[in-house]
Amino acid sequence: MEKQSPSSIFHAIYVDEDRCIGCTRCMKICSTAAIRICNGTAMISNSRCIDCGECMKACNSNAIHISQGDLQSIFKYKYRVALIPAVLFGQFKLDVTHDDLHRALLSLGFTSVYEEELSAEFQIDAIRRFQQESDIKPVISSFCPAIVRLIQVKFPTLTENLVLVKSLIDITGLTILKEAANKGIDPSDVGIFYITPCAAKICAVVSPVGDEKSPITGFLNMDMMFDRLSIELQKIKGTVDPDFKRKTSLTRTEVKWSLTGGEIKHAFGRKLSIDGIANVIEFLNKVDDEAIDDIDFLELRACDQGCAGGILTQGNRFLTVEKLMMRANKKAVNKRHGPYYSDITYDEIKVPTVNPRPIEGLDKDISVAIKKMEQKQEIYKMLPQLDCGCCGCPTCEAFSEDVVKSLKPLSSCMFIQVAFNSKNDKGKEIIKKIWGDSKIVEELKNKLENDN
Amino acid sequence: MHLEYKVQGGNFSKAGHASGEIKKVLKQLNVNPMVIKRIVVALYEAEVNIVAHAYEGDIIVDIDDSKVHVVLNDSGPGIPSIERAMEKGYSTASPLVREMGFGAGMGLPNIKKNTDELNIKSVVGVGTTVDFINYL
Repeated sequence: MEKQSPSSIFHAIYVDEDRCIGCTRCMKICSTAAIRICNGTAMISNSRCIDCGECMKACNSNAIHISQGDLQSIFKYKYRVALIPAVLFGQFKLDVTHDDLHRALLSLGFTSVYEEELSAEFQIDAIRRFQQESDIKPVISSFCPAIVRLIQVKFPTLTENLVLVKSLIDITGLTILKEAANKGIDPSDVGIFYITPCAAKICAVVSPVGDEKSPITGFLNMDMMFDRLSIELQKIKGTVDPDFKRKTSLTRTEVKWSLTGGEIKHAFGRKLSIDGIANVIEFLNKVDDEAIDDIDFLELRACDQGCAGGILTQGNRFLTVEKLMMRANKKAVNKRHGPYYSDITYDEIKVPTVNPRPIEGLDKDISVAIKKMEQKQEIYKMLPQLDCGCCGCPTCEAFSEDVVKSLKPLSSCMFIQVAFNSKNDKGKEIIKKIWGDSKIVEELKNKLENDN
Repeated sequence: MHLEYKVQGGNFSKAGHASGEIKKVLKQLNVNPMVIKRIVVALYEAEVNIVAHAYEGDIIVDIDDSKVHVVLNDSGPGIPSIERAMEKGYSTASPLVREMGFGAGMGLPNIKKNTDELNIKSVVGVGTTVDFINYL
């Protein structure tokens, strides 16, 4: 796994420049305005991207990719653990049993299988403690890594509302290592591989927020694993393995945990669950404006239907939810798990702090920022405010910001170009006809001439 | 930097709009997030006060590298006793306004708590001016 210096932020999403046609779809959907089109291809800003995967969903050219884990890399370890989220079950037909899936994973080369949600009880504890020990409202779930990153960059004051606890993946990873240590196994012989439903969870594994290092060794993408597991499931179909005994089972709470509404019933007070990144941003804007002060807990998920809507999932998200609900109601157990549970203390799963990483500042120096802000407003007034995207920026506002930051010349705007080029009267006439006189003003021309 | 916003009395659906816009500007000016939070709390309370009590008003914000200076002027009923209005829980809001979730009597105390300098002037039957400064 690659090591990250503190100044660079790890991202799992990247653009395939050979495939990208610069169509602007990803740029327009990005909720943190992280994408610009430059020399015909999309570029993703390292500081702004939160790895939510919306750009990948929007791309028609299959030009946005996610880092791939390598299944062969598990064989470097003597003990090879598959750590799987409950939504993996929801990808397969209902006749694929919990046992079948574990057996298929073992036949791919893993030596044991654990479910991510096995440590959900720890998170319930952490949420309740956090609610009791602070007077912060609303307390915000830190389950979804894309949401944690969204809050860091776009809502920096709300970082203090996040529950300061390790991710479920990491807590379960710790319990696995403890269990191994109790059996006298050297931790360096254990490789824990997380089968991820999305890009944000890859980031959570490679560079966890607020934590030095994750106990997880690596990740494997769920879309690739779906294909591999489907083949194995075909092989074992109708066969019986007398030696096989499944070690773990999930409770109802655990099966539903990653879905929308999975967490909230365990929090205190008035609570809401919101999924879909646009919905989350709309609500957090309200919270950030101090307009909402009587909600105690927010469960937020970047994807519609929670992890069932993860970018790397194969199945339809609504059917995945339906299948998981069936499983929760029929197959899940109600009692608690084995003894490896109790070994972890609250202190071991706390994270010290989540740092804000605000992206919106125009300059570090406030007096310079004020000047730039004034310039930005001036420029914005001259622009057509159509958010056409032809300049390579998602909105006219983003463009005016890029101009004051000297990232783009003013002439990147088509309207400005047409207005500036007095020889091109025909173009000017067309634009006048469509958008009205107000978009082309003489003042603008004068202003531009002065600027040059 | 100078910003101005109009606020309409009774327009609860737009209450908080100006505060939201000013918050966006402050974020871009790289003002410390915790300072922004205090200003926005004070500003939101004061803006809602105009919506809940006055006929109309305006918000004038001046920002330089050392402070944010906010003046909220309204034409409205005025405050008969500023001293009492500063008490927690004291409110003259109508039952209708309270039903909408406003008028808990925390407005002015909250503004006081979140500002560095606060000056309130009011003439009964004419209007109120809330003037506050937060240092950066």
